[in-house]
Amino acid sequence: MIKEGKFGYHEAISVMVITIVINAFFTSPAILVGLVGTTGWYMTLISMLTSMFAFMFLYLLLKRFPNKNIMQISDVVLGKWGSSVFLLLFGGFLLWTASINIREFTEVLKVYVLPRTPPSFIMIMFLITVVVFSFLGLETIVRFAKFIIYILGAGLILVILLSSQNFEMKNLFPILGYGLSNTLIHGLLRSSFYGEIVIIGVIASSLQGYKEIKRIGFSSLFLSGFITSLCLMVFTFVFPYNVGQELTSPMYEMAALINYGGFMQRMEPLFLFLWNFGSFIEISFILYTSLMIYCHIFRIDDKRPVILPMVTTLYSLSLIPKSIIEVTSGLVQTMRSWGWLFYYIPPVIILIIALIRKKKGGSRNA
Amino acid sequence: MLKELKKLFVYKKPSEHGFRFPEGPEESELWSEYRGKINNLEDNSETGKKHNSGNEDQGQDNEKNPDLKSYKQKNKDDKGKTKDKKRHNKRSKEEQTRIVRPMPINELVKKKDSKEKRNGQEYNNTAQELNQKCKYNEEENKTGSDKTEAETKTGNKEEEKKGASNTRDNAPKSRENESESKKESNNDKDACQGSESVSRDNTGRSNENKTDLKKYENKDDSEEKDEKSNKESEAEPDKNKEEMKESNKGEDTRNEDEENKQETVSGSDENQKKENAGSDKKEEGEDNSHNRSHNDEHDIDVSNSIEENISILKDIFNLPVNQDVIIREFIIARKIKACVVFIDGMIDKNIIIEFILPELMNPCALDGFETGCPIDFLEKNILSVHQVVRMDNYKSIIPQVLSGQTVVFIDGCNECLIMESRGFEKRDISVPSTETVVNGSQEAFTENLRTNITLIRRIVKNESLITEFRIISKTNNILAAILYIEDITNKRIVDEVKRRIENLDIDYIAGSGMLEQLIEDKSLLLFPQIISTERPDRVASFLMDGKVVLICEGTPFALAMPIAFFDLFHTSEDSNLRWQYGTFLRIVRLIGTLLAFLLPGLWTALILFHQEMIPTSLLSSIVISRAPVPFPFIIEFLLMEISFELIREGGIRVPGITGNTLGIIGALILGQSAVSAGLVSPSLIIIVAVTGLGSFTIPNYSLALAVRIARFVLIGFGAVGGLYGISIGFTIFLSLALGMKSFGVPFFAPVAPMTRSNQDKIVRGPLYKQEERPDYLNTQDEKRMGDRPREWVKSSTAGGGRDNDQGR
Repeated sequence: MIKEGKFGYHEAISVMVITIVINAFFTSPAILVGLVGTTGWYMTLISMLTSMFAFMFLYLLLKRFPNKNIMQISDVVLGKWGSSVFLLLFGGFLLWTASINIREFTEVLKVYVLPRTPPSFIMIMFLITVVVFSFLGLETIVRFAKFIIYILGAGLILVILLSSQNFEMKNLFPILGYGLSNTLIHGLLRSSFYGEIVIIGVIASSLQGYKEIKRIGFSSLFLSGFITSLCLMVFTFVFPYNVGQELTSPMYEMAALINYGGFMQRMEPLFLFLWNFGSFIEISFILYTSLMIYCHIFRIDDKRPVILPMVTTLYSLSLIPKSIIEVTSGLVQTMRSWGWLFYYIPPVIILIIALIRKKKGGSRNA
Repeated sequence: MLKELKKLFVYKKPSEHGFRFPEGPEESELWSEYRGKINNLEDNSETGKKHNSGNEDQGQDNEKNPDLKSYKQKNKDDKGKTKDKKRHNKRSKEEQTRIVRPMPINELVKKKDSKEKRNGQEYNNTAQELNQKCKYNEEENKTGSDKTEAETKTGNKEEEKKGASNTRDNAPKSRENESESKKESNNDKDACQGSESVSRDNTGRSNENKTDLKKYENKDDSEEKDEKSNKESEAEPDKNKEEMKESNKGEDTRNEDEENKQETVSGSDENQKKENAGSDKKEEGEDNSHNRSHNDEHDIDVSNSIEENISILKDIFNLPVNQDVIIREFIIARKIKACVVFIDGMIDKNIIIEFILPELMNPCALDGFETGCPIDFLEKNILSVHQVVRMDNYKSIIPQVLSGQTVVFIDGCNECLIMESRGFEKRDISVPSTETVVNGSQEAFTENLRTNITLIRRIVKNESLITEFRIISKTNNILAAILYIEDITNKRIVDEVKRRIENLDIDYIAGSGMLEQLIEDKSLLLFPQIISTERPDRVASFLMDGKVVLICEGTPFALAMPIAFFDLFHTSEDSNLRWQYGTFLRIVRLIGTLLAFLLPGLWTALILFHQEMIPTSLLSSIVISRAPVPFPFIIEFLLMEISFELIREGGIRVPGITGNTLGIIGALILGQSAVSAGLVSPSLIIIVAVTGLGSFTIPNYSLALAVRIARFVLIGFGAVGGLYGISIGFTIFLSLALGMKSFGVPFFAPVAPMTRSNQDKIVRGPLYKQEERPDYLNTQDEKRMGDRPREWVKSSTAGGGRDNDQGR
């Protein structure tokens, strides 16, 4: 049986930040530039604030039911069958999110690194890592995140610093992009970019109480917003908005432009490590939480026998999209725009029902 | 001649053992109940039936009393009737022993020789098989044994009335027979109680049941002995009478206090206590019988008679066949017989020649001594040996003899004197061979346990440094020492270490290397979970950190646990140098480790998948150099890596100067020749050489080997997936390491999980800032320094003051 165990503040923040920020390394910035132009860097801050507002409801829900995770809370509030339906939808959505992310990663890798490799091969190798992580448990995933965040952070700073030779301040203008209202609307909609924050509700029982959850949630969102904004700003400095929206992975292209003489050039494969590690953590984390939800629904104590079938399902789902266009412009775009419906609304609904039905968790002893 | 040959193979007739038939049906039933055959009848009947093919007359008897059946068969054989006598004799050794073994009447078994022993051992092996079939019902057997105890007492008394009186000559033999019957009755009980340890124990004896049996037997034997001694004393001179009475009393008291005896230094005594508690632990599911030496079978008390002691010793040590053991008989002060026992080659002869024998053989040695056993007098007044211990049970004495002590037995005393006289040849303290440093101690451990402990005690001069000894293997009885500092170490770690050691059930442990593999958490993982070092100064630092150290005799290495990943990178030199130098060296080691681990895989990925990363000029030279190479890159690389490993391993195994030369010349000539022949490219030689150099910087040998193995896996990942494959391989290794624990401590503490720690992971902070012990060990005393470890630094303004620029 896999024991989830407890982990601390730093580990939780590391895993949440990596899970959220890694999406900025792929196709999302290019789509964003197409939508809002040069204002992506502060549009994401609006998304962050929206996400913080939505997270408040989750926090209030978790505070109302201390030491319980969202599955246990839904059992109490919605009853057995209602909870099962709700959790099945939520867990299914997380699984679908993971499948889209893994497909997006595969497509980007195929475009830039392994063009002649079949996508199934890339995915199978990826999923081997995911299986290993899942067998080792949540503790290992968060410890890996904690360990690797320093390397990722250093790598990111290095990319930004080395790319500074290509910065042009004029690329930041026009400062309002396609209009403030456009920026605001997309900022609100694309708060789904930070939607993975609700996974804190799934792992709440492994954290150190609701006060800690509050700190973790808001700190993770703040850090993620800051890093994403920085990345988008840097990307905007390097690529004008009419160029940026044509790129598959702007961050990769930015690293590819690093050129300091004959020796220090074409170093983008080194930064491949950053994206790989981040993606491993993100997919493994989301899959594991989906696994936790599934096992909770069907009262399965030992998760290990469910891992391989779940991974197989993930693999099958990720092979459904026909091409990179369908993935990036279709599924990813849809998820970024409308994912908030599945991320933020359910905890609000549960909270409202809990208030109506006057359901509450046990009080803490003095 | 045939008859003589038969004697070699055919078990002796029961009649020669003094076997007699039960006089009546009542007695027969009593005997059957005593034997506890009620539970075994079914099984015995099955085996009996197999051997009784075609004997219809005995069919009914077979079902009711298979022992009777087999006995009848035996009678037939004795009469020399059947052709299948040989077959019966061969096949029914089990039956023969079964007939003899359950004899409850100890004095019936008079003759004891080596053949009986062998037969008994053979029986025990077969008894194991029987035991496995028996139903395990300790309570019923105990109640049954209690009943039969009373019954056999009545039976014994009847026999004694009828039987001949025992002469003094038979006394030692009777004692031998008692000991043999003890074993036999143990085996009898084992057959019915059927503990698991019986099936595992080679001698077929149940150590756990022995504790219960001992109480029963000791009571039984003590009563029998009392009766015997009373009879014997009538026929013997007064002296012997008194001696026997004293011995009986001594036996009685010993039997009563046997469970409360204090432990000696020897681990076997501790094991004996655990043996007594073993029955309780068995109920909890633990089985402590596995961690006991086979000396449990020598659970014989020292006799008052010197001849008997000598005969017991000869029996135990297989004298005169075993020519290592010397028994030197002499007379103390020309009055009392004694003997000294030791193993030739293990003792310092001068101690015996100068301090034991002359002192004891001095005619005036017993001046001032009156009567009785002189052991106390001699210990306190005559023997001038620095360490003398008294023991009274062969189970404790034998390990002492085997470890090089000298034992003196005295006629009329039921104890012996064990004197420290170890003087076997041992290696001197030398420089460390695997952990050399420039600035630091140049002493290393040796194969001798006492020397190693002394080396540590010279550094940690603390009364709270506890050394506990354990015997960890069953047959070679190797001793291990557990060291920890009582006031610092977390008790749970100590208990866990002890638990793992005490639950080892293994025949042979050569040294710390084997012990490490037996007690580590996950033996399947590549990375070590216990650190092995040959430096006493490192061990001392581990003890001060709050770790537990294990030292095993036979290898010059000590084991420390629990460990974290960063402990494997540290050397004692880091602390002996200034913090800047220590930090620099650690960074160099880390770079070396990363190079050894990642460089081959990265190079493979770059050459095969990411050529664009290589600068153009370098790329062109690589392409030109690889042009004549006939092999694919991966084959070429693996060829070079394997050759390098062969050279490295060959250089270690070849002795003397040749080994060192082989490494250098082999690498140079082989590499140069290979390049000249166009088999490999020059760039690859550089990569392989740098990888090797990187692995040499890893201070821990186990980690170095792990990295050497892991790099081959990464080469495979790199060949398959390029940098993507490398990242997958690295992630898998790292995640496995992150999920590892060493005695409950996460392997990557204090980084993941994050715990409070000194600045002593990669960057080594100043020594006076290392204020706390590692947090992940949860030591009893977390502070290792005061608030101001350098009191001499004057506390003044932040700038230190005009007249004080020190301490900054």
